[in-house]
Amino acid sequence: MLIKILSTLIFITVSSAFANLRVVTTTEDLRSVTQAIGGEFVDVSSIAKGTQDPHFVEAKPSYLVAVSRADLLISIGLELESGWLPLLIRGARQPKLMPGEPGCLSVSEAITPIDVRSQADRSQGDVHPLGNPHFMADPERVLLVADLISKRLSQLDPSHSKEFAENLLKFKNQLQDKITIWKKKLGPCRGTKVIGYHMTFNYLFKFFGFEAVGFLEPKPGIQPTAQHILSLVETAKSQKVKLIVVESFFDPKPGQTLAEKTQAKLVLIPAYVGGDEQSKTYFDWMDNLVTELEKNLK
Amino acid sequence: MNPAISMNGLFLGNWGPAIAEGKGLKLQELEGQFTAAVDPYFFANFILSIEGADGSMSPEEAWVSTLGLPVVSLKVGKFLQNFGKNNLVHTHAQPLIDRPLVNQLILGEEAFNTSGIQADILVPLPWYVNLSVAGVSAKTADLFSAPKDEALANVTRLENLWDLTDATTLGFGISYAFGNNLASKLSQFLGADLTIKYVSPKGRGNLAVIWTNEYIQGWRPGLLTLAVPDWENGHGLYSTLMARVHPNFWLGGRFDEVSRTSSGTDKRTAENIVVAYVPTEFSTVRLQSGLTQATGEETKWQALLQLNVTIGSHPAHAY
Repeated sequence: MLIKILSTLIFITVSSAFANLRVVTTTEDLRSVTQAIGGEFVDVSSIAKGTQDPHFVEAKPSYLVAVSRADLLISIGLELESGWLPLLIRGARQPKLMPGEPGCLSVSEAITPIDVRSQADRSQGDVHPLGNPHFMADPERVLLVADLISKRLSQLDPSHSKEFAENLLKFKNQLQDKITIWKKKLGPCRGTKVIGYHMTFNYLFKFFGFEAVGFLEPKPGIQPTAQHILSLVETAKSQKVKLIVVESFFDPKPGQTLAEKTQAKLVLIPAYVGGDEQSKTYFDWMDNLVTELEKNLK
Repeated sequence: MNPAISMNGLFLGNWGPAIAEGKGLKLQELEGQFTAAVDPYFFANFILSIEGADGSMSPEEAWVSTLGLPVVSLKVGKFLQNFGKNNLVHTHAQPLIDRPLVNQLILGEEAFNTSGIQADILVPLPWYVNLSVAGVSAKTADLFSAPKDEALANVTRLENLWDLTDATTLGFGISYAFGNNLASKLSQFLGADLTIKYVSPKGRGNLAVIWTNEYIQGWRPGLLTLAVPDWENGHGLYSTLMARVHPNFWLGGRFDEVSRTSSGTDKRTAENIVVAYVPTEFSTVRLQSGLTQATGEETKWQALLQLNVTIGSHPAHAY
């Protein structure tokens, strides 16, 4: 009997010594990038699905169980997850995942955000004073995020740092090549005027040189109103807006109404990796966005 | 390094024969919350409540919990006890404007809230299982009102939650509390709750349906012999159904039934419906109307209108 118990304990010890690094990310974009760098040496899962608005994820206890078993928790930061992540971190009861510990990584520290508001209050809507958290739609910022993730994976699992570095190089080379292709495709469209729904694609617009002249939300996080859409009709006509870009998980009706009253085309695109069937990885998602934008600008 | 500070204000209008006192418009409650990590080892949460009726201020909750322990977290201070489903919910976060009758009449008007120490253990099973065990003051808890200062009551809760699908969860909890009462005899309380929750995993503010059911039974021997007799046996339940039918609107209703035995049996039932307009996470307007029936009394109606606003730090929402 004693031998059985001892062999079970030895098996558990040996198998955990060779176990993969368990990583939980808050979004599917981060899951995809982490998987590309960690390869076969990490087990990655995402809390928010690509079809969900990560501002409003429900802090389900099953997420708490997943976080409690993780070696590394990767989040976006800039208060994107402030409505639910603190509860999961505290509820997980894992000291190694507390903010400031190596097991807790907020990738926003790798980038310089846009839309920073030094004077913010809630009369401006649900704003993020520290900056716009939707930077994963900017591939150049994702290069920096990838560096940070690779560094942290190596810190937590030094035995595979060589493989992480190789995977990082491969990922960055592939992304650089894609950036060239995407810029070539949408380069001629620089200066295109667009209207968004939420501020989800501000980084993407900036990356391709588009100009966002308005948003269907009167203020961030506030539902579109008939009066606001009427004011956007005037804006769209006077500014010669070509595209109304709406995250596919939002109600398309306000965008459709605006498109019907103007010359602008409505484009529904997934806001995150996993937001539709085609967007399984970060590259799939960005390819999908570029294809949709290009198709509607022809 | 400042704590996260937020302030919640509840403004209430109530009308109808079912309202015993305080009809009309009033400030219902102000609640200020201060939360922060104390250091790498502790997290503190202080909640001060100002009652609208008399302006009295009291610490609704004031507790410190551990941050540095794996699997278990310890909580010390004054806090809402982890008994049943509704007892942990603050007034401003209630699905309907008022608390369920069983919580008011069995656990007490001000909820089961007292000082003590609680251990929460995340049981290592494939689904979420949390075991909570607390030793609390039976003197300061209205539920017990034990005569001796040092009297302790025990509160235990086992909570399970399963993901049925990505969108649907099933939660089941059982709770048990015991301690000496004012007659120095052992009072016992038993609770069971079942919640099914569906939240569309698509986008923001899409369809959500929450069905919550809770049963509580209490035994308080010896209280009929006191100078001011009180009920000895009681039980009751509620069933609440809430649905988000639009990103800014919730509809819902609740059925209540409670029975308490003292010299006779006092049975009460109530049916309420509510509509809530939620323009943002920080403000809600709710209109509630309902009927209450009590033993030997006529059916009475009530109508409640409440404005609920929060300023300050972004609140994290419990599931």
